[in-house]
Amino acid sequence: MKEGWIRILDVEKYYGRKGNLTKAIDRVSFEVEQGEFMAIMGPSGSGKTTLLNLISTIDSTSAGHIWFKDQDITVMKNKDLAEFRKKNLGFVFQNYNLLDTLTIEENILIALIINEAKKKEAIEKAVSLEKMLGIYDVRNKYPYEVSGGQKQRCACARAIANNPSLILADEPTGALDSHSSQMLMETLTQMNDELNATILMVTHDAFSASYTKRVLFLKDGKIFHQLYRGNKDRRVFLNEIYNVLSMPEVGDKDAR
Amino acid sequence: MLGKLSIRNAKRSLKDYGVFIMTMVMISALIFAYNSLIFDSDMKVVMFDEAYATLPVFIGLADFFVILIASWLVNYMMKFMMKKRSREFAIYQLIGVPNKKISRLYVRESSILEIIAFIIGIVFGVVLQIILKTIFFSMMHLPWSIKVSINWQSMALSSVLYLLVYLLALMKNSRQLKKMTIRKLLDMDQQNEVPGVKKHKVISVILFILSIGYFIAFFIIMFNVEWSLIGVALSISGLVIATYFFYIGVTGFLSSYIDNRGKRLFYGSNLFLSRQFTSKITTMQITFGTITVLMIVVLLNSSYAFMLNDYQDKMLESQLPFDFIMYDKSTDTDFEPYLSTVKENVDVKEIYKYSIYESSSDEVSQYMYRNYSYFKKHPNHKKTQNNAKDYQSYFDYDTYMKLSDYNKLRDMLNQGKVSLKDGEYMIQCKEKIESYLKGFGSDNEIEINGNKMKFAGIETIPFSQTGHNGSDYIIIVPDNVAIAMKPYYSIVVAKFNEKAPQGLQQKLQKLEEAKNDEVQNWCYGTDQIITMYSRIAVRDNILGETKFLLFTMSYVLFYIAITFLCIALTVLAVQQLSDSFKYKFRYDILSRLGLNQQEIHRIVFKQIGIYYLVPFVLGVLLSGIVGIYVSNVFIFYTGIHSSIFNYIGSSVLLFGGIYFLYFVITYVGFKRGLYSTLN
Repeated sequence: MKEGWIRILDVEKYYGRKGNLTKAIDRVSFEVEQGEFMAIMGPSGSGKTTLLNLISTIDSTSAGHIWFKDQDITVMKNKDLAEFRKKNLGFVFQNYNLLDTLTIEENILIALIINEAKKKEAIEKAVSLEKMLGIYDVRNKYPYEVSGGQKQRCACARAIANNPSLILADEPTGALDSHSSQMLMETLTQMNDELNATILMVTHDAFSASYTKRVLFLKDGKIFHQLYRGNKDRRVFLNEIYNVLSMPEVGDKDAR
Repeated sequence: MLGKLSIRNAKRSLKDYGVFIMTMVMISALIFAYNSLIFDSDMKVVMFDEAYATLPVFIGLADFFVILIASWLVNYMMKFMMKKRSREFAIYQLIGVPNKKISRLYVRESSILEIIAFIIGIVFGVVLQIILKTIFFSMMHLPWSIKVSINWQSMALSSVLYLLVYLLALMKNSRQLKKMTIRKLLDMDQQNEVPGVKKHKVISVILFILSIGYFIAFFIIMFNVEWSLIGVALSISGLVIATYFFYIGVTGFLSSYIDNRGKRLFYGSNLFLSRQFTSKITTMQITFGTITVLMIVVLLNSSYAFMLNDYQDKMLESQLPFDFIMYDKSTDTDFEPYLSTVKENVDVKEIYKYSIYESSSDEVSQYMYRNYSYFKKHPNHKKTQNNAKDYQSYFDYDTYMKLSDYNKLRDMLNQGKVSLKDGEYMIQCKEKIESYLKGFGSDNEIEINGNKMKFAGIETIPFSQTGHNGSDYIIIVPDNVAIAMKPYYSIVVAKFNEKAPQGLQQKLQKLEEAKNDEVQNWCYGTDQIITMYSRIAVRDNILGETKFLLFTMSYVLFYIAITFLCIALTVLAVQQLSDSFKYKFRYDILSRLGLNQQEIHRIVFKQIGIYYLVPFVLGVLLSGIVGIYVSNVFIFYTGIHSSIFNYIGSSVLLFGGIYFLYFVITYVGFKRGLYSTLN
């Protein structure tokens, strides 16, 4: 079997003490290939965000291993983890997580500066991303002065600025209106197509998930279904996703 | 229900605003300790009524400033807490709690905090009072055994003062709360979130340059211009305004540096830190300005207190070397009524009467008028036709003393004898003018009754030269030369076997007043700032009173300084700590972007360091230069041997220590807050 870019092997996460143990993630295994654009869906409490936090090293596993290329991140020390995040990961969150004291451009620059980029390179890179993601005109504004969609595109630009191995997106369209959601998903697709970014996205939203190449369905901490888009049209894929979500065992009333 | 809620809220505030409560404890301790001195029976016993009367006046004056600034702090804090909790108050309104009730709830919980702070403060106040009294009695060389004294008067006064602080602040706030609508409260909550300084950038850069320009101009002018009172008031107001302008300007200056993508931004955490700073300072310009002004007041106050202490340490004793000394303008004075009063009151070892002579010449004083820098600053203190005699520093004629009188007086002061050959003279003067008179002596011979006399040297023992044994200087000549001169005025000195009883000075002065004799031709030299000129001087009495006065002043100056400093620091600390939620969020992002714990620690350290350092450095810089100028003046007029950096340096050290303490508390508290959620 071909070795995956990222391998999640029998990962478990428990909360609470003995006798009152909650299994948020229950023996989950899957692989992500380089350049893949993948969504994880599931009802509330199914463990989507927990799984994302484990992969992003923000939370630690209770059992199992997560391999990034040839590195097992579950055994790394805190200090190395920070370095690992800096070098390998990019984040996009539902609430944007932009620094409110910095302008849109500075929010992109800070990720580059932390990675010790030179002034000229950093500015060039930031500008090219701003142009690509359509936020060049608002680059000197503060987050509170721009729309949610623009904020999220800024977060995307920051996430991809250092050419990370993996971009993790946690409900990136969660706070956006339908038009902005569509634009953002097109942005992520563009990042995936043009920059060959590997993206792992957690979402509630079938519409957003239909932009990806693969969807994993999670319930009660376990993977219960998986869909590949292949060469299908997005609308067809969206219907397939709806079909899975409407299965009685999913019981996800939230899914749109 | 509301009672329970307010107690719970108070508990929460106690945790969130611990630094503020700590400062209120300190303020109430200070108010109690200082005001209790007014009623303290131990203190009353040892002092004259007249001197003692100054204590309440000084402390009352200080109380005025302390209450004003403390109520500013309470008002500031209440507004601050209200802003932070505006969403909570909005929810109360939303679920139907009337405004009046909300405001009562708020008043009740802040009252709980204030009362707790006051009670703890009194306990510390008692300790502080003992410390203050111990220092006082040991410095005054008076016996005292440590005991606690609490009386109802001091308790009542402190309570009233403390209540005043609180009521002044409360009045404004609860009125505001009563008028609040849900919309306004929610807006208030939003206000916290808006950073940035885009507006009026050009104006702020201009203000920045103007303020720096004013600082420089102020210092250049200060050292080169004779100040009038209005000039001083205007230029100091200008300094305060320029300080505020500086903070308004510095944000604009810094943000245009950031906007122009200055090179240093691309190094480490500089971009993050400078944006943090500019965004914070935008909402805190006035506060930062106020903190800096407070720092200036603190440092100047304490420098002045250090000056007074230093003077007391080094100079006071030498001002009055004789146990008793008295001047009289006539040459055949009957000192008997005074001396018999002295003898009735104290065991006298020895009495010596003598005359001071003149030879109708004023060569030396003219030389001093021409050369001594003092007269360049105070031309109206010279002897001229136009100047008022009251201001004249030196006698109309140079003053002379017989060598035998001089040696006798030296003997009384336990100094060895000196000798002069025929045709020689020497000068006994205050140390500060020694170099001038050496210059005079080496260049000039003096002529007395047609005989030229040569300069044989200079003596600078403490010699009571504020109008008694000459003013500033006296010329010593062989007896035969002096006898041929005209007696000018008379002096009597005495040495006691014991400490003079309190009140002797007053008794003698009453005799003098009864004589109703107008004094003329009495000049007390060039001492300024602290001068003890009294034609009759009982050393123990005057020194005691002066010491008491100096102590009171320096005590009160420290009282103001410490209060102001603590208040300034509380504002800084609370601002940082209470924003922890916002900071937690920001540092969380940095952590996700890949900064490790150590790097984040370093940024936190730098961030808090900058907040603390900026007002401190500006305060030290501004007050330092003013302080150096004032020290310079103080040293010049008093002739004390101290470095000009001494006073301001000690103040910076002392208050820098307290400053550092608050910094550490903030840093530790901040880190603790940060790690409660960060991983």
